Amino acid sequence: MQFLGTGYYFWDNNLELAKVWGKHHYNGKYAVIEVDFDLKSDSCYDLVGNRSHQIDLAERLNKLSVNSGSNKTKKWTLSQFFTFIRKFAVSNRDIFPYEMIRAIDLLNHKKYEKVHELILFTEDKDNYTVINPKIVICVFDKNRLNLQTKRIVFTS
Amino acid sequence: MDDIQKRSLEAFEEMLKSMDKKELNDLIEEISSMDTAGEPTVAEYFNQIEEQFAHFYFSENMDDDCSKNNMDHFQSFQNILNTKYDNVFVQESTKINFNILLNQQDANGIFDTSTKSKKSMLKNSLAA
Repeated sequence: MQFLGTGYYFWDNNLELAKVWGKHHYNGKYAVIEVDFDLKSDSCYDLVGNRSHQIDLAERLNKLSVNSGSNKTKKWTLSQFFTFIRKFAVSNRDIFPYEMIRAIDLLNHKKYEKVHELILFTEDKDNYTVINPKIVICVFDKNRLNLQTKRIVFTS
Repeated sequence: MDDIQKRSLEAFEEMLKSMDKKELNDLIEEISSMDTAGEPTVAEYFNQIEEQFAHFYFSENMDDDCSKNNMDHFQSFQNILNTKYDNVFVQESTKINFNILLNQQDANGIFDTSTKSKKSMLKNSLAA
């Protein structure tokens, strides 16, 4: 299963990640294409920069658990949840009216802190933030994208 | 919470409440089994491996402090491989250089499984 369900996946402003992906998934023969998105709150379910959407997801997961009476959903992955909800959105778009989902992949971010560019807030505390996160965007339908802005930014 | 989000959340809850409980739980069961039932497909498994490669690629230029992490990382990688295949192994050649040795690769370094469901290119060497 794909991270956020079936769709077209993009890295958010990360040419280096796109190159790594091309190197390892397309035998080193690839091009990186840049497309401009409008990340509006009514079309993008944004689990990166929209706190309201993060809360919304937690609420939906809780409602699912309560209404089903099943403990299984408490262990669901994002991929499973979005597969579930998008099944219903086909017949009732109100249930999930979004056209794309945006999320951060934090795998090994602490281990590879130089890649992710972890930076402390202050010298005397261990609190830190990440300034080069791996952000993925899953677009459900490529016809929704404004492909007129498409341009090749790198060829191997 | 904007109007669209509020309406969507309400629609979601209404849908859950209106659904037949058995139908809902059957669907939950079906989706739950998608990630966890049985062995991953070959395609899924190689996606996992390629993810590991991507991370190693990132770490190639890291300093010595990070090489310990590489070794730990590759030991984990080897352990994963061992659970699936007998004839694929990772060998540490130097502190930060590793060779991937595959018994089933062709002259171009293309690794193919016996199921032929997916060809996956693995590099012979990821030496920094």
